[in-house]
Amino acid sequence: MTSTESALPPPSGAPYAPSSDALLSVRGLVKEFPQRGGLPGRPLPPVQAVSGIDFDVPAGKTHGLVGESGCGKSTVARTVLRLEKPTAGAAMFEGADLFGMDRTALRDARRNIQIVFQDPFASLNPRMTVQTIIEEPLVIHGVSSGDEREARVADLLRRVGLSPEHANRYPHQFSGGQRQRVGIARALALEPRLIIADEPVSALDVSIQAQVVNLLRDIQDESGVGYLFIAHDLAIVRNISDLVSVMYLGKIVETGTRDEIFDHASHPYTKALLSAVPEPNPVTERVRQRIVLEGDVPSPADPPSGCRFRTRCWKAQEQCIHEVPALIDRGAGHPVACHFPE
Amino acid sequence: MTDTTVAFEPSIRNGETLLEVDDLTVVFDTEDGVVQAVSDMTWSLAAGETLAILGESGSGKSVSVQTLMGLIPKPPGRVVKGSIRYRGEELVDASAAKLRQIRGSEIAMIFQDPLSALNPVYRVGWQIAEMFRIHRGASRSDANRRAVELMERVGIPNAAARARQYPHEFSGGMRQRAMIAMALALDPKVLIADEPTTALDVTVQAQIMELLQEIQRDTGMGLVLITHDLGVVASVADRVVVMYAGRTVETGPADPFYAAPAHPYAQGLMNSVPRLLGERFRLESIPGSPPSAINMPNGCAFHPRCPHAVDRCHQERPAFVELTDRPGGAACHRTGEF
Amino acid sequence: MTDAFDPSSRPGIALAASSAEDVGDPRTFWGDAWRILRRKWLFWVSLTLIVIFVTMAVFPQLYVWPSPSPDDPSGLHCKLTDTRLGPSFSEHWYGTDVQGCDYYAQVTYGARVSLTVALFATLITVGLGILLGGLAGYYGGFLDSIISRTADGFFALPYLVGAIIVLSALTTSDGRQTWHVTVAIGSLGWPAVVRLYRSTVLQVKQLEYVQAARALGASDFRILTRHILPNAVAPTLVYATISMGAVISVEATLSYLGIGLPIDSISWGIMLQEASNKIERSGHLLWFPTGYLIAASLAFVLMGEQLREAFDPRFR
Repeated sequence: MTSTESALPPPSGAPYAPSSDALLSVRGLVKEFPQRGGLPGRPLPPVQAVSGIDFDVPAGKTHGLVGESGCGKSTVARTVLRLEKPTAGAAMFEGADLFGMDRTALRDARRNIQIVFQDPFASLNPRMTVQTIIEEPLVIHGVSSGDEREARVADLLRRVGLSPEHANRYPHQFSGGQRQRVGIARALALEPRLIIADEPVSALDVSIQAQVVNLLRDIQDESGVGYLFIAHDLAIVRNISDLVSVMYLGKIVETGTRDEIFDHASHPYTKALLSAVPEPNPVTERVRQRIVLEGDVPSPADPPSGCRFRTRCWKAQEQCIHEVPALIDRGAGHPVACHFPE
Repeated sequence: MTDTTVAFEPSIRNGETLLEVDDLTVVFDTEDGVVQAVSDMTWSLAAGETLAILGESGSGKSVSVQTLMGLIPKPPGRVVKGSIRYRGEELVDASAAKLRQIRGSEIAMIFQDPLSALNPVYRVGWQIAEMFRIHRGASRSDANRRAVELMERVGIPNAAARARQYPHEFSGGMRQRAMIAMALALDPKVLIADEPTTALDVTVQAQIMELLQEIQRDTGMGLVLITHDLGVVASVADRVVVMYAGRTVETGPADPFYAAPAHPYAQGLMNSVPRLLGERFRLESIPGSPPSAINMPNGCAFHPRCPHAVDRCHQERPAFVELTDRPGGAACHRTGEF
Repeated sequence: MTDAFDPSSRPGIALAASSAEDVGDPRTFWGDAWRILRRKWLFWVSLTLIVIFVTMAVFPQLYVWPSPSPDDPSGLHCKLTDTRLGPSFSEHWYGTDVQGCDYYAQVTYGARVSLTVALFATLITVGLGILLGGLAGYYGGFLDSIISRTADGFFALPYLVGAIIVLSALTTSDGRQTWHVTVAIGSLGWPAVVRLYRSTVLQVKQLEYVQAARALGASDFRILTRHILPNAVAPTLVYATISMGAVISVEATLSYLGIGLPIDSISWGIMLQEASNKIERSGHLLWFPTGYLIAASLAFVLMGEQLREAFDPRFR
């Protein structure tokens, strides 16, 4: 567990230095999207999708990034992959600065960082066969040739629980769960050390979700790949993650090991999220007291001053309006960005 | 029918059977042949009751209500047998005029995606008020006033101002509330909610379920919840119907069902739900995927994925039988054996 | 563009093959489109017409049987004494023209020029349109502004005025040639394709499989040709087919106005021009080329409509 613990910020609140033994180390990541429109000379303020976040993914471990829609979690994935240009911050992958890389260096880095997308219908090119889809990373990076590639694709298909006979089929002939397996096979083709999984199971049926989560866990056990696992479903994050960070409106509000977050949640938002997750048990559900949050998530173009959660928080005080709470350990044993943690 | 009669008539007797779906079989004629969307589906709904129809995508869980709401395109859809009765009145071969009168004013429906169900070019309040103007002949100002009242009733804060906004200015949860307001406008006796919370964030899901439950308590209407999410409806459902591959595999009162589902598919579904509480097990999953509607397995449709399947399951379709140890029924040859 | 066949759009049925064992044979987008097309009678009508006109253009000998002889080297039986004979079943089906040549042969040979101009003008249009539209849609920004504004400028220019300008710029002392007309028509049609292709590229490039290819480190060229083009080209193909029909009429219009093909070419437009002042006494000189023109143009337009329905999942 040592590597897991060193991946967390120091309890003192001291500057959170990039961790040298982490696979991926993100510091101060900011991503703003300019807004079109507004009057000449008075442009609209940019939308702050991600407003300065730090996290690490240790080698061979899973860091779960959880939050509701619009909290910026998917932007984190896209920015780390350089599908979007970061506004500020640093991302070190195995000690190399992802954001400072030129095209060639980035191409090489992309061999080791892969992504699995949410929508198994949109993430596979409908005009390509499964064979072409899975071997594309091998072709792009000039790994192996002809026959060897075919054998490799067959192997990858078996590894994700599909039959190699299906290599010449097209994506729309498969069910959602099978397509997601194809997407995972593509991500595994180059044997990456980090896979960013952006809501990989939320589009799937319950019984299929479990299959895919189990598959991802098995792959990690075999290959030691690290996951940045992005999801809105806390129960699934709990199942797969070693570390968990909770995001709200572009910021991480609480971070810690899985047990720290799920058993000793201390930020009011985390508590509200946890209390909202239903259990399939009518007897306990009927008597359970839920924390019901008031109102809606404010616009990221105009986030509240101080603590961003204060407009919906039942514990908000004067201090929360003026002072941004730092993400530090306040006695809970893990960092929390709240002036009045529980 | 005028407003006064509606207001004074005791509209629903509690416990009265409102909807009865009996032996319903709906098929689609496709280029690949005739596809059974649902087969021999049977359920009923009483006033004040909440029925949850559970199933995964393609299980046919929405087909019966889509049929009764006239949402099945015909062709290719066809009702080949069975009946749907609303308060004893047959709907399957009813006239279009009769159906229009029942839909909307007697039976209302809300959908998964409230954004596509609201017209983007009209103000939200206007769309709700339209229900009163068209169906109740209310004056413009009267309709607007009642629309704002309804919006308050479904928990939309600052309703008078919100009524003048357009759907895209509403958040997902607020849109779903607006849809609920519209559905409630004509005091329906049955509300059908097809995946009402699936598109919403988890904190909002709970709010919407609470709202539906509260409205039901106040009005005594019957509520049909169609969902894939066993957790979301656990606290509100009175009875459940579990669908698999177009057939009902299990029905029964909610509490004993959730405590110990009888059908292997329902058991598998329950086990594959990741939990927040308790030990973090490896998730138990159901192997394989649901069968294709054009290529149904012989015998029990679930047998290729069933851990308990025996020879008989490959050949013979299990009949739906009452459970012996508790209320409810299941379609499995080996009911009670595990 | 979503994919060819989306079973989830039909309520309640899961047509997607699902269990690992019954995935079925490979089904492609084009295969699915063909399955839809082959059940449409209009598709077969337009296909038949297109085949007739294309063979007419490539092998006119299949339709006319000239019998060259020493005193009639062309084999078209031109006899000045037979000038402007009416149609008859026995000798000249479509009658004869001013020079007394067989009009059926003339009209048949006219297909070659019309279709050649239409084909090459459309190729220029579509080629330029896909190239510029692809660049504009994919890269966006400054490049997009330049290309889109230039296209807007072309739109503002009335078509005939544009054609006259281009044609007079191209025409040299040697007189006008067929390729001048082709280039003139082709160079004016591309802005519409740019708009169409650019907007499909904008949609497709957002899709996750394009993002996935980028995340894999694929080059822009690979993304544009392997991921975007095959998924964005269908609407443009439909447009191109319809445009073939339109170009046939445009060429005829230009030729009729005297600013199109050289006056000695055998083309339906030129025939119309020559016939226009003889309509009272020799209507057949007008009706036959007009009929061919309409049939050829309509065949392509109809084919385009059938393709649109086969490609667009909303029609399924």
